[in-house]
Amino acid sequence: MAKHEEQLTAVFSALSDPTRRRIIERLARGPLSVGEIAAGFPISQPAISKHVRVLEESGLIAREVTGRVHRCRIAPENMQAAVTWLETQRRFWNATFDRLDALLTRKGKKSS
Amino acid sequence: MTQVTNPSAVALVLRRTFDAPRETVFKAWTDPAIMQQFLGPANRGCKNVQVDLRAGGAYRIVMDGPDGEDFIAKGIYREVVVPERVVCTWLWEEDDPSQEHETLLTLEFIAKGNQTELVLTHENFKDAESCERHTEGWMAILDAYAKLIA
Repeated sequence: MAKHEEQLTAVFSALSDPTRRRIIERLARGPLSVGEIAAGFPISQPAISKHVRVLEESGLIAREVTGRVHRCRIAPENMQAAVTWLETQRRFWNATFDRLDALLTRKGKKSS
Repeated sequence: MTQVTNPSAVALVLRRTFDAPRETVFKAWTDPAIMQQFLGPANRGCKNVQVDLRAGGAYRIVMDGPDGEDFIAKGIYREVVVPERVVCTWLWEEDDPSQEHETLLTLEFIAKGNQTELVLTHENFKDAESCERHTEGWMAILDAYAKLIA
């Protein structure tokens, strides 16, 4: 649980930045080198490298080194924590809504 | 006119229309005796609810968990506008408080004749209010990952 929470915080924090979200979207289509990633953005390569590092530290992407080429790819297993969080909350609130709905319907019938 | 908050990058937004006037639905979500009758995960009950309904006030909800273990949600109200809007922090209580993960919950009650639309936004951020607000990117990312995981 503790590790899960830490990972979740890192994932959500990494995704709080729009440039990093766009990097993830691009990588979802396939692995890219840092240079290739930077080519799609109107900001400097060092700035992109910094964003890539944050994503790497969060575990959302992984870097593969072949000779002198660094290629980045997304690491879906770590995103699973975020997806699971959303699904768990969704189920919780929907169950709560269903019961409130039933409660309000009962009360409405009683008073009418 | 109730302003619906734009969700932050990582937010769950749920809408549900209830067949009751706004005052009734608002009361259901803020009166401990009523909250106890419906709050909680599927197939489980709620044992105890304590509410101090004012900005800065605390709440605590004790729910039946599996294996007889209690699920406890708690937080602090940030904003209370009767009968329109409640903003509060939301944490699942852990044995070790350092592992608790603070999220932000916003409930908006929109009157629609004799019905009420509830917009529930659950944001997974400590600093949800200062976060840049943008949903589409997040949804696209989730879709991309869902495809990868499948």
